[in-house]
Amino acid sequence: MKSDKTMKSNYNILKGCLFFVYVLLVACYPNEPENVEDFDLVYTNYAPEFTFQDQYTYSLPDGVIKLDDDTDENEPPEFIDTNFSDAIISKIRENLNAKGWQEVNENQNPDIVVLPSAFNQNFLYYYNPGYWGWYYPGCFPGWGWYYPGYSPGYVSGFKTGTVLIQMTSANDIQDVQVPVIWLGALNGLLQGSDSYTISRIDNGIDQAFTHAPFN
Amino acid sequence: MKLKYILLSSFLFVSLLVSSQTNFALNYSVAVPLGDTKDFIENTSGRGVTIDFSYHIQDNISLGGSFGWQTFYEDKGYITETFGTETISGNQYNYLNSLPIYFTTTYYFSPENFLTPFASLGLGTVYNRAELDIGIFTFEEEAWHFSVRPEIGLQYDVDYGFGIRASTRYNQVFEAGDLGSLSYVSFTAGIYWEY
Repeated sequence: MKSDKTMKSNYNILKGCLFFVYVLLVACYPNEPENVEDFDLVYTNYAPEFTFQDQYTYSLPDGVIKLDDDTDENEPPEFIDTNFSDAIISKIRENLNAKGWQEVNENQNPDIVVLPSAFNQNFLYYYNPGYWGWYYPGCFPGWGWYYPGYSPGYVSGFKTGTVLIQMTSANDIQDVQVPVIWLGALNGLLQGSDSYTISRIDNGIDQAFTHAPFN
Repeated sequence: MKLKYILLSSFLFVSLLVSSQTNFALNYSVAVPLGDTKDFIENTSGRGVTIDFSYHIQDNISLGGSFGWQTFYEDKGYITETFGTETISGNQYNYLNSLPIYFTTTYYFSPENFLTPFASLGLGTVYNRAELDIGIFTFEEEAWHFSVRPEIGLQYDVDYGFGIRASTRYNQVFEAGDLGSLSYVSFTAGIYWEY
């Protein structure tokens, strides 16, 4: 027959062990990502029938428009800060020129019209093309997007920023539908200094152009 | 009639537990991933704990239960994956939380000695939650798997009713839902009480 003293001592060891296990599990739970850039994501998708390896002319606007569900399409578009806007546009230009594509004015019948935009909440793939009425060559009222042969993923989130780059084929507009033949989306947390954010955007755009079909 | 059998069985089972010697064990567990588990996470997990109960129906045979929690984790680094025309790049983190629950039967080879080898077989289920984090997004799958767990080990009676134990367990986890066969081998070390 075991003594009460022994039993009590054993129970104290048990309590100590349970506490040790609790501390062990809590303390050793896997770490989450620690840096803002650890959350950065680059997503691309494209129309499989389009031949990206050919040489094309393209046009780029001077600004990156800010997408917002509440903006009236008849109002002039709002642009994002020029610091970010300039960085985005010059990085896209750098990558497209490196592919041998040639930049032309939007009134010189470009093959590809590149449309950079940004937003900070829901992912707005199907935003109203009326946002680009001031820029896109040709008539625009009532136009829509279509994604030939593919469907872009849907992403949403809070306190995040997204840069959306759409390449549209101006020669293949059908029934007032604008074919988006490539899209690249950079998503990340809206934190850090401007220079830090710009370097993350630059890296993201470079990364997007390493993906298929450009790789 | 059915209720009568259930009540009778419950009564017999409770009587068995009350009259039997009860063994309670607490184990720290290190697990090495195998098969589909290894494909998802290659790292050995040092984050595991199991709690075992057993009731001696004879000196050398016990019946019981075992519950545990094992967490696997791997930082996959910056990865690029392509699915058809879609490509995604970002830092990827994979997590697997595995909660095994078994009914066990254990055979003790020399229960009269301080040092006793034992062999055990567990039958039960494992709840798995596999999580893939990339960017701010999480893709999660969960399933209850059927599982078999053979175990061999040693236990040493340090003091009356108190001892230490170590064992090797093979957790064979069968496919379930969208999750594959998330098996692993675990090495446990722990302490036990008998009363």
